[in-house]
Amino acid sequence: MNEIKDRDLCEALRRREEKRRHPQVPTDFCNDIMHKIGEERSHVSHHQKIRIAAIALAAAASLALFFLFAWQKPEQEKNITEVKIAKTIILPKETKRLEKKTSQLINPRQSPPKRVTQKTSHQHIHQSTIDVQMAESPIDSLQYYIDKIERELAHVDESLYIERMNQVIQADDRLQRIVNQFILNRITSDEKPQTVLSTNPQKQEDNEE
Amino acid sequence: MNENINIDEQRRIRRIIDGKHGEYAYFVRKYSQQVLDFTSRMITESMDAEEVAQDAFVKAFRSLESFTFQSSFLTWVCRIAYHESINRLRHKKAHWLDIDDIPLTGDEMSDEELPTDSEERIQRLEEAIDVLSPIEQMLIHLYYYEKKTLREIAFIMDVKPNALANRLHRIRQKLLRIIKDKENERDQG
Repeated sequence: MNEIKDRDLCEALRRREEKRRHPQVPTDFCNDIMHKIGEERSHVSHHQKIRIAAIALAAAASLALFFLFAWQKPEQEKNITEVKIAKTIILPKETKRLEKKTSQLINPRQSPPKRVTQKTSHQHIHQSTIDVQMAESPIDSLQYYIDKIERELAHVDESLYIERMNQVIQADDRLQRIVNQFILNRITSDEKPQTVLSTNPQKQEDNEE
Repeated sequence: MNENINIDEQRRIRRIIDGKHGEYAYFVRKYSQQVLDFTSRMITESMDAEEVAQDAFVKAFRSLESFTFQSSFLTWVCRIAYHESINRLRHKKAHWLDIDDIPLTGDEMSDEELPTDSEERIQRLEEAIDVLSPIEQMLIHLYYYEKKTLREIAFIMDVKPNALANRLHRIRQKLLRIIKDKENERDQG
């Protein structure tokens, strides 16, 4: 026989149990446990109070943020719409005006530079002051510079006039490219059809009329 | 293990979960002796064994809501107590070997036979059991003495029943080796 029998093993374990001194449960064993549980409970309830307060605070903060954003959003949307409309109105008009100015400058014989009198010079100065005051947007600034160029050209001799004119033509080309690019971007972008349509200068002019 | 679920205990546990915490004293009084007995098998120092048993009851109370009634309350507390005892032993850096750390040598055993006399065999087995680690002693006690099922012991020790059966087999092999080693020592002496 070369193995342990279950019966022998059970008997050996039974005898060990008989010999073994079983531990006695202390009298305060149960009370100690219940006391620990009581402490645990008060600790847990304290934690729960803190957790509830934190959740309430977080909820209040999120509500406040929500109302704040909900209040500001329509205002922002309104401002953005206004800016978009302003741009769509101003830019075609400005392009048209620049085209006219350039054509006038290219053909000086058709519209020769005016002789500057003291009165007109004074008017120009007054106008430029107003322009500077009004120059709030880049478009206004552009208008101001065009007026300035116009005033300067009135005083120069023919050779300088031609040279300045070439510079203006080059600048105008550049400006045209920017405007064309802008129009192209607006058409190709996924903006509202209404806005895209409004970038068409011809239609805009028609509408204004 | 569902057969061990006591309806009365289930109701009491539900009441405790609902807020009647005082009813937990019923379970503490009813099972304190068994849980203390359980812990003292693994932890020899009586004070430590008491502490571990108390911690097991407190932890059981703390996680009572997660008790799914898949086992009896006692088995569940014993499971907690088992893990608490293991942690305590590890914390104290007790030098005990787990059965999985011991290489299997059953096949290499000599053909010497165990004593044919039953009384002598039982005595040798008693001596050999004392050499086993606390976990091994606990395992054979639960299986051969308390007649707990493999599933119950597996639940307490948090292992798979198949792995547990393998462990039991290895413990028997180990016992056999210990007995034979002692016989060899006697023969040489």
